[in-house]
This record gives sequence, C-alpha cells and structure tokens, in this order.
Amino acid sequence: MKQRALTFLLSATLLGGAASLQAAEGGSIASKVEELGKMTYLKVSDMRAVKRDGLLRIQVTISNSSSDNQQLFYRFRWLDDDGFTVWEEEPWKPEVVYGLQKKMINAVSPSFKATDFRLELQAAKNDGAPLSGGSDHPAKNLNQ
Amino acid sequence: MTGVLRNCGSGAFHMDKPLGLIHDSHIFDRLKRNMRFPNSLILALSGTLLLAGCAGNPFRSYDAEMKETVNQVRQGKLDQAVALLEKNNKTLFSTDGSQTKDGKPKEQSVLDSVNGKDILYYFEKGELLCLKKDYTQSRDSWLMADEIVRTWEDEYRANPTKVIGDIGSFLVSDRVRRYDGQDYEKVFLSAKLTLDHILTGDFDLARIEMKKTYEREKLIESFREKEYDKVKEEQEKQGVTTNTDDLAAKGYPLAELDTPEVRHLKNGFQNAFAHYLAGYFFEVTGEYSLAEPGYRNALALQPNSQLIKEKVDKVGRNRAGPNETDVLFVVETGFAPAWKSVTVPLPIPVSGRWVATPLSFPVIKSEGKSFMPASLKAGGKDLRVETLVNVDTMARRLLKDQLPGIIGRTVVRAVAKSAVQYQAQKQGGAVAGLIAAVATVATEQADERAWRTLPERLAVARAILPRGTVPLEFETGAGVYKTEVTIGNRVTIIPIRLTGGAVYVGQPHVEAWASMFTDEPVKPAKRKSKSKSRQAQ
Amino acid sequence: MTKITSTRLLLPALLALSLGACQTTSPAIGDGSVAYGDSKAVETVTTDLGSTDIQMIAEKMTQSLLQTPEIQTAIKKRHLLMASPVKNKTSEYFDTRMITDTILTQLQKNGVKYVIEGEDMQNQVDELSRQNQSGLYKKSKSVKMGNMQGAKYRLDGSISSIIKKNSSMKDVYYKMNLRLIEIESGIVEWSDEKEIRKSAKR
Repeated sequence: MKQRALTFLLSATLLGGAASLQAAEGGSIASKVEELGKMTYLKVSDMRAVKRDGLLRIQVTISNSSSDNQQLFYRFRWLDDDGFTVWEEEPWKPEVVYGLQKKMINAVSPSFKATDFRLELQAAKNDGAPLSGGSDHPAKNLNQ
Repeated sequence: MTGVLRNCGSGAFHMDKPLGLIHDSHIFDRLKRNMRFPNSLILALSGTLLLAGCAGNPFRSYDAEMKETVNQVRQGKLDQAVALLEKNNKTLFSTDGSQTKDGKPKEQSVLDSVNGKDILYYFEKGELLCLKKDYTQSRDSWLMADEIVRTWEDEYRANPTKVIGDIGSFLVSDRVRRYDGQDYEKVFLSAKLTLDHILTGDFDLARIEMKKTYEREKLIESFREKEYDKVKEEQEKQGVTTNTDDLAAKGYPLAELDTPEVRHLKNGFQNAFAHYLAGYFFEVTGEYSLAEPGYRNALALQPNSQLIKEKVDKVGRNRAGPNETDVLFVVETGFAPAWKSVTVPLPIPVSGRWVATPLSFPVIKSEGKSFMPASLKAGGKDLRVETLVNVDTMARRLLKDQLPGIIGRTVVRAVAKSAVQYQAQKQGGAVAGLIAAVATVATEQADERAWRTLPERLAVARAILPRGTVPLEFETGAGVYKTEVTIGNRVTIIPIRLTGGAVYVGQPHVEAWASMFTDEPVKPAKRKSKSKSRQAQ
Repeated sequence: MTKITSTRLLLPALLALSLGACQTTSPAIGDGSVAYGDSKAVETVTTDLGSTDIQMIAEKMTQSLLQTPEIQTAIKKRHLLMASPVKNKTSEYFDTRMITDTILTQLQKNGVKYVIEGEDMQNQVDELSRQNQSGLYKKSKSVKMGNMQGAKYRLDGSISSIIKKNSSMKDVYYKMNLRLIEIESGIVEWSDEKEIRKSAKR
C-alpha cells in the first residue's frame, strides 16, 4: 500500500520491495492485465510483484462477484525491460473460482531474464474470441 | 396393427445398404410366387432379406464352415485350411462397388468388407498364415480386418448416438446385422497384430499397435456403457422387461454363463495378455514408464498371476546381460468356442393375447478344454507357464453382459413379427400365415459368427536365455514335443500353438538389423529354425 | 509513443495488403477439415493425461526448481543434472519422459547443464567408441574417451492416479511428485508436487 503512487517501473522498484497495485488506481493493474473479452463477474482485485533471487514473483487475487462458480483461464507473458518476450508462450491454465471467492494465483517467472509481465485472462462465459481455430475460448471442448 | 407394421418397415428397410450375396433366396421366390400375398408384406420381408445380403450371406452357417477348417489346422494341414477358407469366401460379385445393385449410391460411412471379404475371413486367414510362419502375409490380412474395426471406431467416435441407435432400433435378427467382430476379437486382433509386428521385426509399428490396443479397449468400454443406457431406455419405451431368469426358466442354459470364472472377469473384452505384452516390450526396450502401466493393467485383469506380480513395481530389475535375451514364450492352446443358437419359446403379446413364440438366442459351445502344459523347458531352464487369457470365459462373459440387450432386441422384434404373422393370417388366409411363419423361423437364428481359429486359452512363460539356438521342449498332452528356436533379438517372442493334434512353434526373424538394438552385434541366423509343424506322437 | 505511431502507419498498410490479397491466395491448402490449433490451449477432450497436464506439470516443476538454491548454485558452478526415469504408477500408457524432457529443456534455457541417460546414453557411447575404435577417424581431431562427466544431482519421481467412477461421472486425480537428489549423499535437496483433478460426465 505504501507504493500507491508508483508508476510501474518494475526493473527499478522491484529491487526495493513488493509492488502492490490496487484496483482503485485503475491504470497500473490494467496495464498488466489483458482481458480477452470483457469479464462480467471476475475481476483482478489485487496484484503484487517482487523480484527475489533474480526471479519475478507475482501474486494476483481474482474476485468473483457472482454467486456461481466461474471458469477462468489465465497465463502470464514474461517480458524484459524493452518489452520483448523472454520465454515461450505459456500454456493456458484452467482455474475454477467459486462463487464470491477471492482466488490467489501465484507465479514465478520461468526465466531470470524476466523483468516485466502481462497477465492474460479469459473467463469461459466471455464473448471475446481470443484464439483462432474456431474455439472461442482456450478450452478445446471437442467431446463430452 | 398397421402402426406396428410401419414401424417394422422403417427398422428393416435399409435399402440403401450395400447388397451382397443372397444364397437362400428360395423363401423370397416362394413369397413372390404367391400372388395373393399382400404387397406390403412382401416388401417388408424382402427388405429383411435384402438387408440380410450385406457383409456376406447371413444364412450361411459359419460354424459348419469353420468346423472343417479347424479340423485341418488340428491335422497340420495349413495349406488345405487356407484353400478351404478361400473357397468358402469366394466372392461372386464384389460388394465394394460404389453403387448397390439397384444403382443407388452405397452408404460409404461404414465398411462392411474389404475387397468383398468380411472381417471374419481376414481374422481366420491371418491366424492360419501366422501358424504357417508367414508373418508378413498374416499381418496384411489382419490389417485388412483392422481397417474394418477402425471404420467402426471412427463411426462411433464421429457419431456415437447413431451407432448405438442402430443397436436399439434394429428389427432384424442379430445375425444379419453387420458383423464387426466381438469385443474380445477386436482387442485380440490388435494384440495379434502387435505380435506379428514383433515377429517380423517392425518394433516401431508394434509400439504404435500396443497403444492402439489400449485405446480400443477404452473405446469399447465407453461404447458398452452408452449402449447399456440406450437398451434400457429403448426397453422402457417399448414396455418390455428383460429378465435373464425368465429365459433360464424356459430352458436357456444360463448357468453356463454364470460360472465363477466368468464372474471373476472384469469384462468380456479387456485382454490381460495385451497388457502383459506391452509390459514386456517396453521393459525390454527400456521404456519403463510405459512398461509399468502394462503390468499394472495386466494384474488388474489377472490378480492371481505370479508372473505379473513379479513384475509390478519391479520393472527393469531383472535385465538380460550382454549376449542374452529376455524371451517371451506365448503358448496358445485349443480353439475359441463356437456361438450357436438355441430356440426358446417366449410369450409375446399379439393383439392382446400372449402367444408362445419360438425365439432364438446365442449360446457358447465350447470346443472342449484344451491341454495346457504346466511348464516349458528352454535352454535347460524349467519355465512356469501361466494362463493369462481364456477366450472361452471371455466369450461367455461378453454374452452374459449382452444378454439383457439381446433379449430386449429379440422380444421387441418378435412383437413386430407377430404382428406381421397376424396380419398375414387375417388378410392372406392360412397359406400366407404359414409362409410368414417359415420366414420368421428362417430369419430368427441367433448370430453364430465368431473368430474360430483364436485359441481357447493363451498363456505365457518368460526367461532370460543366451542368444543362439536353444533347445525347447514341452508336454503336448500326447507326448513330449522337442524342437529348437533361434534367439537373436533384444525383443524375442516365441509363439507356440497346441491344437490337440498338430503343434506349431513359430520363429521370429533374426536378421542383420538385430544389431540395431544396441548391445553386441548379433550374428545373423545361419539357418532358419528346424522346427516345423508336425504331428505330436 | 514511437511504437504507436508506427502501428498506426502500419495498420492501413496491412489492411490494404490483406484486402488486395483476399479471395485470391491463402497460404493454406486443404478443404478446411484439418486445422492447426493452439498448442497451448486447454485440452479437455478426455480425462486421460493430456497436453495441458504435461505442460502444467512441467511448468510448475521448473518454476519451483529454479527457486531452489541448489539449482542456482548449479548454474553458477556448472554442476550437472540428470533425470532418472519417472515412475508411472497410473494405468495409462504415458511416457513420463515427456515431462522430464520438458523440465530439463526449460532448466537448460536458464543455464542449467544436464547429462543424458537411458536410451540416449547408448547413442553417446556408440559415437564415442566409433570415433576412437573404428580406426576411421583422424586421431588428433576425434574426441577422447574417458572424459564424460557424471551428474551431481538427479531428478526422480513418480506420477500416480486415483480414478473414481459412478453411473453419471468419472473423476480422475493425478499427482506428480518430483525430487532433486544429490547423487553422492542421497540427500533429497528439493521436492515438489503437482496435483490435477479432472472430471467428466458420462
């Protein structure tokens, strides 16, 4: 909470300690999150990032404002100072967020080169079309 | 009444089905000659007959045909057996054309046959050729059979409700339905193909085939689960209850299907040998993470097997040293049971009255318990022989599991048929009624088709043996059989078949490529094995 | 800012290009019945172990391993790592090397050196002996025998499953366990688990 007014210059601030981004600031969380389609019920309510042992550690809180369970898909994209990706595309990870739950997602960068990141989010009930190949969300529901 | 008739028509009229042979068309002719016969009925019956034409002739007695072939195999006359098989399956005209006889485009989604021959022909031919040690030809024949099974699988994957729907709504006898192999035959086919691939030295293909065996088992499992639900639903719709006890009360030999061994099996299709084979193969090739599930699955199917228990959780402990090979002996004995039909009179409602109607149901007719040696002697070592698969029991289990469905289908069909008979009697008088009754009996025969040259039982023995020519001897039930086999590859399987007469010992190809499999390069076999099929004294 | 202007410029250009190209040519051949999909998409075709499971297990293990001091030291001091075959305790025919290979590859991208084992080892030995014993190679230019290095750490583990089924659903629970063992002492320096639950309606 201390670093409220911080503009997200990870490479500089991360050495100092945890960087907390509040939803209220709008801009800072939004700059890290890419929602594939508008998410109606799920929201990133908190996001922290710190660099420890040369690795970027992220903790994200996802809040579900609906009383129904929501299926979420997410993945991180790892970037360097210049905005280049330093790691291959991550697999999409499925996550169930229970009704009204605040779900913590933890991640550690898979590479020492990562200094920045983006979080890609997609909820199954979105109407966005993030992926080519016919499927409108990352789940390939072919049978069953 | 007419409602039932129409229903019968929609079920039996598969005019777009490919046309095959109609040998026993005399019933049809007689029906046609009787001009007093109501047209709708002729149409209905001819529809049944025409449908009957697909995939070979349904009225041929498969069991009678195969009896002679099996006898010839027993006598060691493989060439005659193959010739007889060819003669029995001669095609008069190919059923593989893109059009049916009436010039209608043939339904392409389902494969009845390859080159005009049905799946059973390829099953049996593959087996005969394998016994002849012609592994390449045998493999090719089984690949043809596999193509038919694969189209069935693809069809099921693409549209499960349709394939299952066919089962529920068929109004003709089971034996005129397309035969795509009993469940255990489909799995066995895959296991046998794996064996052929190993025997010819195509280890990559063997590896693929083994994974396919497992997938096939899973597919059949899901198919049977869905089918069970469908049959239940269909019976509720028709208001038919099926109780196997009712059938037993009318003289059906249900006790034969309800033995402890049958109940002991998990189901009628999973093959412990196929999994053990995967365990063996992947252990020898050093892929332990694939060998482990092989042994584990085999143990789940044969929980008392010492041979399997020795391997579970101990994969890779006991490895062959340099110039040694972990050899798997596959001992097959006897022949798979025949499927026969018995006629059981069941009461069927006809216009409000219950009429005892003769209906036929399949039974398993064992070929007699074959002799299985308790041990083998190879390279001076005594090896315990352990039975992993009993085809006879598997067939019984399969039939036991399917019997409620078969009863349901037969009864639903009989209700419709009674209606036909009643209608004929009413409109056409006594003669037509009689003829319709003849047709009913003629079409009412349970399905007798089955892969008959499959063994009754399959057992394995295993040992680490030195490479080179090794003496092999075992009891045959009629004296001791002695021979030699050449062991040269890292993966070596020696197939042995006891038929209650002739004994067949196979020999895998030992070629220069043996050196491909690391260790020391192996000298190519100087001579082919001396072991020939010959009569045991 | 410069970025934005450049995209602004690029976009109409791209549009123009794609419009011009549309309908006439496409780099794809075929009737559209076969398509390439996203290799990272979440696969839920069956409850069997699938691509997503492998990717998630490997990712979690790599992330966890990278944080251990032993691995960070290994990177600095060029200590070697190897992977023993991971035990497959499930009933599925699943090659566990698919997981360990991915983990090793991802670690390697971060500077961890590893040595091969198992089947690959045989090829290595074959090549070494060929260069040295076949008499076909120039002595001065061929590799020397006796210089292969042993690993300091090895990865070991197992994957197991519990399957529950009833008339309406099937539930499968997978657990992958991985350990980092110092070969000389046998001490487990690190271990972690990844759990996956999959259920399907029948």
